[in-house]
Amino acid sequence: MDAAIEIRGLVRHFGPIPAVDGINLYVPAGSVYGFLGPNGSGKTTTIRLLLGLLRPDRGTVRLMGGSPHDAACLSRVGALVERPALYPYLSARENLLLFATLGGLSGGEANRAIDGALGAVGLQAVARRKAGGFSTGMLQRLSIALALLREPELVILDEPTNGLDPAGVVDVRALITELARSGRTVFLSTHVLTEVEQLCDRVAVLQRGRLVADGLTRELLERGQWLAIDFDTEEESVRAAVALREAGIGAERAGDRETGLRVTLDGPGPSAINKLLAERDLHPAELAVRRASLESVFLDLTDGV
Amino acid sequence: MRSLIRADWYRIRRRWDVRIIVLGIPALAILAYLEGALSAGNFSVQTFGDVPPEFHAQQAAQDAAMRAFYAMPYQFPRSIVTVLEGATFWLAIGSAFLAASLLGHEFAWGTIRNVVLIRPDRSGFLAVRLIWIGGLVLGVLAALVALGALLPAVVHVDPGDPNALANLDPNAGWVPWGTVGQVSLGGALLVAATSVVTAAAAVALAGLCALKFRSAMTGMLGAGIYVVAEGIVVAMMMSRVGGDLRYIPQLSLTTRLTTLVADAQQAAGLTSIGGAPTSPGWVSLPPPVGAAIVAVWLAGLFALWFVVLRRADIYE
Repeated sequence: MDAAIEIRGLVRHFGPIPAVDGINLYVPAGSVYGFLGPNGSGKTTTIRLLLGLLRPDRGTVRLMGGSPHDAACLSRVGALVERPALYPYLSARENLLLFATLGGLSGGEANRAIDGALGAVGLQAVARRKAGGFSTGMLQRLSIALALLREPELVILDEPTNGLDPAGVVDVRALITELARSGRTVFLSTHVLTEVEQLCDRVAVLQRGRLVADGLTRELLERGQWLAIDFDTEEESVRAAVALREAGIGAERAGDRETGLRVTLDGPGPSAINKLLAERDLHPAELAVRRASLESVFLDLTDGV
Repeated sequence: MRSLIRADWYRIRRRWDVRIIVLGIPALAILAYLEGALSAGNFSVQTFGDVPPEFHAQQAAQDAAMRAFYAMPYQFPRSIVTVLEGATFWLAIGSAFLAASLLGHEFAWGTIRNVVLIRPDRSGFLAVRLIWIGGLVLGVLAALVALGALLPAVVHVDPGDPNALANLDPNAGWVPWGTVGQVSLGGALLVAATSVVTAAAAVALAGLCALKFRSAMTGMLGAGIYVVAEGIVVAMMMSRVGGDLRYIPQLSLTTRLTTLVADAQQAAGLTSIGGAPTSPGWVSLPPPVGAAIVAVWLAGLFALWFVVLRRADIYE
């Protein structure tokens, strides 16, 4: 699969502090890629580096197979980076027209692009109002419109739902789904975990400038899976725990429940464990695979930061 | 490049600060001109008591000379210089503000990021912005020159007998020392050219500070502080250093600009004094050498614009 984004050995210091510390990242074309990390973990710095806004100390970045310093390459990329950046004395439409002109669009082509972008973010009704009078949420929508203006193949969105009301959040998530459906690559940086869980097929987790996880969202969630086993009596539960530990399987009491066990799923699967228990005449009242939330996986990966 | 030029003009022409400067400077120049012209037209030598008959002829000659002298700045082509003199300060400040604002606000609004994302060749953006700033300053200057040419026809100040100027005696304290007389059209345009150079220096300094410090206000402040600081250092050096070191203050931007303007005024016939003051540490440089030093300064400052922006990390 072609790479929409390819980062190798990316390093950037601010003074002695490494903001980005040797990141390698491969974002396949057509994927919706979640870029997770707590505040200050280096997400926005990484995005600025991959867009050529910051110069790396070391490492290389390829965007759509080209350099981020190449205009032709950047014309295939739309980006919303952190806070909105628009001309307050121009209307929403004029702001888009300005950047459309700057990007080489003109006349009917520019108008069609502007109408499409404004329509995508639901700002047609206020298109002639000055951006300086917009609310934070409206500015955020306009910035997303700007990112979509040139119908990019790769859309980089840094905290796109910041400042949006609940309806706006739903709209933006629907927009991202629509972008993915149309075959575009979406690189979504966020700390809203439900957003990633709902939208992203792949995810990378950044912590203190380093990648601590990278892969399919499904696989990341599977890492946090465990087996919940409940018995009728505490005595059965204790015997089961001993039997499992003897077989080299991690098992511990599940919370406050004296009859419940929490079994790690990094070895034998649920059916093998059930068979092992049955051989020792232990018959669970309930046996179920529990899936961890992305939140718990994230907190686990980032040491709860 | 055409799309870059069109887009840049689109955002520049919509800004109120740009409109105020472009229209405000000529408006101030008109007001200054009118104020001077109306005062000049009312001139007469004040006398106390009756003038004895034997001095009537001398008084009439003095009246005619002073009337011609005070009306002189409002006769074409000298009127062009008069308008420029009335607007020089505002032109320099306005040019500096234009550069600082048009560059600094791109950082304040964060729009430099969107520009760079569409046009990663930052030099192209800066070159076009420089072209527009230069165009606006030249446009204002052309308007001032046109006003200087047109205003004498609108506000006529009667010079009386121009030959009476021959009776002027600077030694008598009637007129400022060094004043000689009328200027030619070429002389007026030479003075206008020095206004361009002064404005260019203001643009270069303020623009560089705005780019470096990413703010319009800091750009203005930085340029202002540099000019004042350089003046103080130059004055200290002129009073302290000797030998070949005396040439060092002569290399400063403000010294060279002041000298360039004064030399141009002398060449235009506005004054006999020129750009060489009589301070003990002063060393005169030939005007072409002085002009070359200014050219090096401007080229260096504008080159730094490009270096600063190309190397800048865009955090906005």
